[in-house]
Amino acid sequence: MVRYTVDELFHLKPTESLPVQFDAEEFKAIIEKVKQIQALKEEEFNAHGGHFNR
Amino acid sequence: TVLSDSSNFEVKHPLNSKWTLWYTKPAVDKSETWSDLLRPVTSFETVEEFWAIIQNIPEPHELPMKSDYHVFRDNIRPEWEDPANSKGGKWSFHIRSKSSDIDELWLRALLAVIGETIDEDDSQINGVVLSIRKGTSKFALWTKADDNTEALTNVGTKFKQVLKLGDEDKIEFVPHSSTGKYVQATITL
Ligand SMILES: [Zn+2]
Ligand SMILES: [Zn+2]
Repeated sequence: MVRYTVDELFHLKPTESLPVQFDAEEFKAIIEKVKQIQALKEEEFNAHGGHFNR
Repeated sequence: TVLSDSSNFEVKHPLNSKWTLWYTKPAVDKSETWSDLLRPVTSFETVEEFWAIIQNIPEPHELPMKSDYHVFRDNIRPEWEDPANSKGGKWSFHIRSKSSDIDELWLRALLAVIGETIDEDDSQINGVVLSIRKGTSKFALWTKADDNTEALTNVGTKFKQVLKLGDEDKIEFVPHSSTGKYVQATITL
């Protein structure tokens, strides 16, 4: 079995950022969007004194 | 080209397994089904690919509530229904979501899992999960079996060290077969 200690893995951390095989910008954009929606919902909730007005 | 040739000479350190990072997106509207929310993000099989991914994804403290990161071995889905998980269970540790240690502990948990230093002999570990919730977030280490008490106790003891937990901090092992019915821990450390 191939093993690396946590310390060995830290030592193998590259100093520069390497390219990835997936669309990291899209992934981050989805997460930002969710955070915005959650913040809006929270704001609306607080604006109604802690309950949703439906 | 010269560029792509030169990249072939880069030394990469192979991991013991291929791993896949999955993300559970919080639901933002009611039309979204579970399969819309749980998605594989990317896979890696070398130390260098792992670090590249870590440098390009949000850290745990940047994730929205109700997000999960999952890192699972080979082609195991991060669900108890997957045949590789169905006879297993998970060690869980709960942590205050406001804790400033979550980023660091998640990274340490990942490094211990992909470096295979949690197990002594053959691997009991299928994957590791971080669930970001309001109030209390959760680390979970998924194992392939739920009945080898000695091996599971060793794994749990090591998991506590990785998460820098003391004697007063408790982790619990719950078989997936008991999840959803009477959730009952079979081992507590
Ligand atoms: Zn060192
Ligand atoms: Zn940070």
